[in-house]
Amino acid sequence: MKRRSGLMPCPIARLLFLLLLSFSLLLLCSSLSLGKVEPIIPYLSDQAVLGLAVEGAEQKITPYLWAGYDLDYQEGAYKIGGRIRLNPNHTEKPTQTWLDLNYGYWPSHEAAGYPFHRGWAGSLHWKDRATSFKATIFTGELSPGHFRGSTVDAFYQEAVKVTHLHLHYNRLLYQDWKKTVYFLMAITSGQPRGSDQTFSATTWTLPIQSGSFRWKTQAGYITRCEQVVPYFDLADLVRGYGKIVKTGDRIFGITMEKLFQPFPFSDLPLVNLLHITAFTDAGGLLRSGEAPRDLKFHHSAGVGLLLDLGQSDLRLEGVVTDEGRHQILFYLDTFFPGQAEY
Amino acid sequence: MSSGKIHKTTVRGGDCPHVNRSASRQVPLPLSVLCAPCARTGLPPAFAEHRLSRLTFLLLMLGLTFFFLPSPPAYAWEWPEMDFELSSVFSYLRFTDDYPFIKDHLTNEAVFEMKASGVFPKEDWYYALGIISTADASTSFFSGCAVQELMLNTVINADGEDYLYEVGKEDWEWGKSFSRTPTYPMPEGYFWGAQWTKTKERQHVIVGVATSTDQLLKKQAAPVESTSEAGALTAWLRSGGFLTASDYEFVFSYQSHAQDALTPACYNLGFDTSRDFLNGLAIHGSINLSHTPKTNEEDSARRVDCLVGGEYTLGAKVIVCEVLHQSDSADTSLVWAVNNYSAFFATWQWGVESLWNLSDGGRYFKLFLEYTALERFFPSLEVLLFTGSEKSKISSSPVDLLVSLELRAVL
Repeated sequence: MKRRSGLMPCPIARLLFLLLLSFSLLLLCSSLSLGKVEPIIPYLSDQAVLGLAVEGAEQKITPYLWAGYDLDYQEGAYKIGGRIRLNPNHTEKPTQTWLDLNYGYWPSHEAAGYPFHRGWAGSLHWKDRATSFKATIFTGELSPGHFRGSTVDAFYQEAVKVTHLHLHYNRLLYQDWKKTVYFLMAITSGQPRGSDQTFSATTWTLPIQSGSFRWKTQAGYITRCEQVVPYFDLADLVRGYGKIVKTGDRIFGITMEKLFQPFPFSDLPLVNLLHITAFTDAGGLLRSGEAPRDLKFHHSAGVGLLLDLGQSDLRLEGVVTDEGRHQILFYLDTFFPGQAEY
Repeated sequence: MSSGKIHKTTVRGGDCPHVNRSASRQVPLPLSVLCAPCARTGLPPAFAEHRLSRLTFLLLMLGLTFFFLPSPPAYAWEWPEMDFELSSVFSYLRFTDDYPFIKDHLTNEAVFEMKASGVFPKEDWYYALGIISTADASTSFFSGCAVQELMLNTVINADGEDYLYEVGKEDWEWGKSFSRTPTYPMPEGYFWGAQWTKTKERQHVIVGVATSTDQLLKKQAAPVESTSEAGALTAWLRSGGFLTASDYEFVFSYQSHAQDALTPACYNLGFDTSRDFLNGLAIHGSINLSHTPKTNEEDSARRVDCLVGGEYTLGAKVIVCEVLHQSDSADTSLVWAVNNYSAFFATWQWGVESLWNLSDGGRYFKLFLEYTALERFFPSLEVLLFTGSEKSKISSSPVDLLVSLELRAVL
């Protein structure tokens, strides 16, 4: 169920409080030369947290504290932990390896449909030029959230205590001049505490960019149990559909997009980053008990403006779905996954 | 008796009749297996061996951590070679029209494997430890974690004779058959056991014993029906030799009842031979006579299984053809296959396999395709089609089409 603070029910008040707290920590760390403070910028990865990351001085074990506010789910978030670099001279080597142990209340996509995790997470990270791999063991509570603007609540979900393993594999399959192919595989499997039942969630994502064309293919499969009911949301596949309006436990979707750059040689700031985009999304999902031949595809199409910010795109789009629903969207998006740490 | 699906098959239980990682392992699901645990790990689902699974899982994670440790400290013993593999499989199953419950089905399975191997310091014992963890509809990575392989072996040379000692849990299978060697009494899988091999010049003697207590043997769908039962003890004596371009081997094996290791279930006497004509053509043959003693419930029984086959290597392609006959069911099966599995550096690896049951007309086709040009990343596709008359044993399976897409990442 949705969690609300009794002291500060207003999201803006909570946001201001978190910013004030982070700013205080920034001052404290700077004055004591304890480490560094960096902003957490939303949508650089698959999270929408705006906040600050306070990290201790780079040592064998680096403590850190992250605090922020999730713009999508309008929840405060934090985590405190430590990081152990297994190869301290990582900047000179092609591979980076580190262990991470933290406790917190932080957004996560490890169990689809449960956007927040509260508990302990221990993870091993490994990264080289083309591959990144992360194995995380989490024990704690999975919390459902309420997406901003959504008229439907995650009515069938409740917070549940679990232990799960999450494996995240990200691979640059091909890169050439204006051609990039990535592959992302994320697998989560675990059990509720005190139960023999299991749940799992697997997603494959294949984003491809070739010149001004982009394709992204996604597939996912979820196994539910009595206590844990993760789900995929059609809104994440097909733009224009409302959050939690159509959900299921098996998905397949594809996105195609064509970009036009109207002012590629402009000297005006940001103008040369501007693109006009035309796109179409198609996706289908199956609920429990439905056979693959019951799969029905939904689709949408739209046009918009895109500001290429490097790791992320700032997008303003008009989209219409096959059900005739019109919507204007304004959001930050990351086409290639796993580019940022946060 | 089974109608004889191709040897490299295995049935996994649960909601996941999925594809094995290797090139050639798939079978349609018998209905009774649909709700069974995943047999790849050999473990029942979460409710059993929970603590042992978690301990194994801990070993897996520790191994993973040490593997990625770039500069291991100078330990007194040699650092093991470690390999990790993560694979994810989506499978589509289409059921026959006669199957009343469901027309088609989609499954997913993830497998995480670790293998560590090395040599013990100051000894000549080589060790290999394989841990496998499966997550699907019935298991999580925690509950589906098991030791797949744990093998210790050493070679001792004395007076021109080589002695190989092996102990642990491993696949003890022998033979050169593409489908299944009739003289091998156990089903496909990894079993706890020990084996002693003596080799002198071109002769060898092998004595081995293995138990199958931790395997769900009744879920196996081997082409040659195995007499092994869960808990059975199997012992074998093999003796043979190598000639210039051929070899032969006599095999005597014994299997006990599952409940009582001293009570004989059956005796087997077999003979394997092969010849390589050194022009790309090689043939092999195998025959096994099985005798089941009389018991209080059943009379004694005898049966004969025999196999004759050959393979022809044409460049990178290998063409295989085998005929398998089983006397007790009067089944005769023809197995043929074409593949390029020997072309290790090919961009694509592909294979076509089929089994035709000449007795009842049941057929089984398999197509395998794998892209191998990406470093440490292997996407593959496998299609299995089962055809034949309604009475055929192959078509008695509720699945008539299975398509699996697998992505395998090696770390």
